[in-house]
This record gives sequence, structure tokens and C-alpha cells, in this order.
Amino acid sequence: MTEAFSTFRTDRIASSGLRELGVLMRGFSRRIGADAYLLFEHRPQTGSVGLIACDWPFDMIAEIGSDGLDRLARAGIACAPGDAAGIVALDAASIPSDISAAARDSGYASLICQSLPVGDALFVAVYCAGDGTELCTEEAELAQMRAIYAISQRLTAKAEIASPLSVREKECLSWVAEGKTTEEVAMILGVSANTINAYIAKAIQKVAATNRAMAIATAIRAGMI
Amino acid sequence: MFDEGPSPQIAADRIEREVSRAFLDVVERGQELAAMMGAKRFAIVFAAYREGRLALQPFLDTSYPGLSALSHALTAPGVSAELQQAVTRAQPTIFSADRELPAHHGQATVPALVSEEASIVLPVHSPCGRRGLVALSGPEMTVEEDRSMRAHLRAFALFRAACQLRAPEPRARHGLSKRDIECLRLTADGLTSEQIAERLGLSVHTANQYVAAAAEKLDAVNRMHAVAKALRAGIIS
Repeated sequence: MTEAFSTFRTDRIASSGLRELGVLMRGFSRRIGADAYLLFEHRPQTGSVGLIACDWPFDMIAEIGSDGLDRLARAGIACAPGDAAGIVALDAASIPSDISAAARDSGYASLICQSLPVGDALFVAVYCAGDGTELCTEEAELAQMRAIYAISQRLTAKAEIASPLSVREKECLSWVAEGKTTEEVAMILGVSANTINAYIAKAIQKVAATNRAMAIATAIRAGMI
Repeated sequence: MFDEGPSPQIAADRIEREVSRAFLDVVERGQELAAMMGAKRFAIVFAAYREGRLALQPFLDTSYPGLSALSHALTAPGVSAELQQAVTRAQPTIFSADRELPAHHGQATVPALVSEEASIVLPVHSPCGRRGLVALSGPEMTVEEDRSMRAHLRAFALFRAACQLRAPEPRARHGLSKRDIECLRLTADGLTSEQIAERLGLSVHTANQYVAAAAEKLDAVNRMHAVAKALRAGIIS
């Protein structure tokens, strides 16, 4: 085992929806011709995963670990909707060797890894198939869209987090993005350094960042500053 | 007498022609997508949250280099509740003409976007984190579950192509190396120097050096400044 499996409990989907999604994913998996599925929410900023539903063999999940799922979800392996079916053989160079070894131990020969963007959240489906299995590319492509619709219908209301920064928080963040230190921003805005730090801490929290650099990146990407 | 290569003006013209050809390619693909649904026109708009409010910005449509009525309807000031929902949900939203259209997978049917035309609005994402809508509209739309799902898949691909037009690969990388950019990108993702070092298999000192080098090349005073400059210049996304 590479590391302990740590997963967050997703708050994006109501608990009744989790089981329904499991049933649907199982259906998609059959239609594609795959043997097992795994669905999780991915938070690329922190590299964390939130397991939603899965019928993978336990050993394989334990071996790949949450870190392995994070790596599987990253671009280059997981395919975007409309890109391709996402079917990759385990010997493909894009798949990390520890992951392919774990899948092979469970008797699989290929994976189908699809990213499922829904609103401002990102989910990932990973199907596994045994050797010699006929996989239906067209069904795999459609399954990606079906899964996106199915998740979207079961999202909790809080899924779309509008994080409007206050005028002061935006001002502070904009100055920090210009390379100003806390003391300099305090001087510019005519308040104490403690106040500035409090504004920035609040802004970091509102944009769900872990530090200043990430808060600035998130705010610029979202067009807030 | 001397072969000095094309003059800067000619080179600039060529770049412009290439850019507009790339735009025309996307327009052609959009038109094919519209035809697939029996629609007459398409539009791609970008969604962004500004001041905590949703804003839709026109980008490209059937009337390129101009803008069609569809883009105008989608990006009219004060985004309608229906369009706000269309961005938030992942399923298509159907803006019906007067006649009835069947609704499936919980697709909402709401009043017409362009008069006398039915429109299907498909929410789309790009892997670089941009969001938007691809709308198809026409008097003779055929909205049928299986076909709209296929159209939606193609809309995702179309939006990705549109994103590439919007943010072309930065030609001037300000002399940043691949490693510099990688360290900067990880810094923007909230990683500390220790975490970057671990992720890339470097020493903390080396990771720090890359970030410092990136900041210096970008003429930034610290790493926060460097992240902001790199994002705005499109060096990282």
C-alpha cells in the first residue's frame, strides 16, 4: 500500500443522490462493456478526492490510494467531454506504473478515465475493464455526458458558491497582487497592518484558497480582481 | 539585393491572417454543429463572475467578424434568471419558439431567446477552468435526447477550440524555462516551496530558486506579484 486512503465527505451531493448515482454508474459501466466503476469529486487545488460511489475491488482502491486517484484525475489521463472516449490501456505511458500494477493485480487491462465538470465542481469517473473485453467507444462518450447530467440533477443547493469579496477585501488582494507587503498596503489604505491581515485572511477563506498566492490566482481567474 | 526576410509589416499581416483563419475554422465547426440540430446559427459566449455577479461576454458566432442577434440576446445586460440557471446547471436549457418542444432529462423549456426561433443552450467548460455557453438557434430545430447529447459533447470540444483562440500559446515567455513556469503554476495552486519540492523531486532550496528566478524574469517584486503577472500574461492559466 502506497499510503493511507484519505477522502473528504462531499457536500455537493445529497446523501440520497449518492446511492442513485451508484446505480446509474453501474448501468453506464455495463453499457460501455467495463467491469467496474469509481466516481469521485476531485479538488485539484488541494489534490484531495471525495469518494461518491464505486464497485472497484477493495484491494485495488487501497493500493492506488487517494494520491493515486488524484494523479489519475489530472490532465493527460482523464479526458474532457467531447475529447475522446478516454479508453487507455494500462501499458500506456500516461498511466503511472504503480497504478497500472495495482489494476493489473486485480485482473484489469484497461481504464476509462473521464473528467466530469459540473458547475464549479469537478468529478471524475474511472471505469476498469478486463483483458479481451470489447469496449464500446460510443457508449463511453455518451456515458460521460449522461454522468454529467446525472450529477447535475443531484447537486445540493450550495454547489454554486458565489464568493463575492467585499470592496475592502478586493482592494487588499489587488495590492498584494501588485507585490505590496502587508505594511505597504496598510500605509496605502491608511489602516493598521492587523486590519489588512484580517481582510486578506477573510478573502483567502472566501475564495477557498490555502494561502495568499492561491487566493490571488483564484481571484484573477474568476475576474474578481 | 539583400535577402533580409519578410519585413515586420508582412510578418504581422501573416500572423493576422493565420489568426482569422483559425477563427473561421471554429466558425465552420460551429455552423456544422448547428446544422446537426437543424439550427441556423450558433454562438459561443464566455461566463465570468465579476463583482460576485455572473456576466456573459460575447465571443464568436455565425456572423463573425460581426455578432448575430443570438449573441446579443445571450449577452444583454442584466443576465436573465433563465440564463443564470443555464450556466449553473449542466443540462441543456431549451428556449422554445411558440410551438411546444418536448422536454427530457429535466431540460427546462423557457420563452424564446430570438423571436420566432427555438434555441438550445449548452453549458460548457474547458480544462483550463473557463466556463461558457454554446447556443444553437433556428426556426426548425429538432431537439431529441440522443442527438442533443451528442451535440453537447461536440459543444465542449468547440468551446475548447474557442478558448485556444482566446488565449493563444504565449509567444513571449519572458525567457521563463519550463521548470520556472511549473513552479509558478504550483505556487498559484497554493503549494508552499516545501510542497513544490516534494511534488517535483527537488530540494526546497532549488524550488525556491526557480520561483525567485521566475519572479525576476517577470520583473516582479515577490511571488504573489509573479503569480498575478504570469496569470495576466497568459503564461500560466
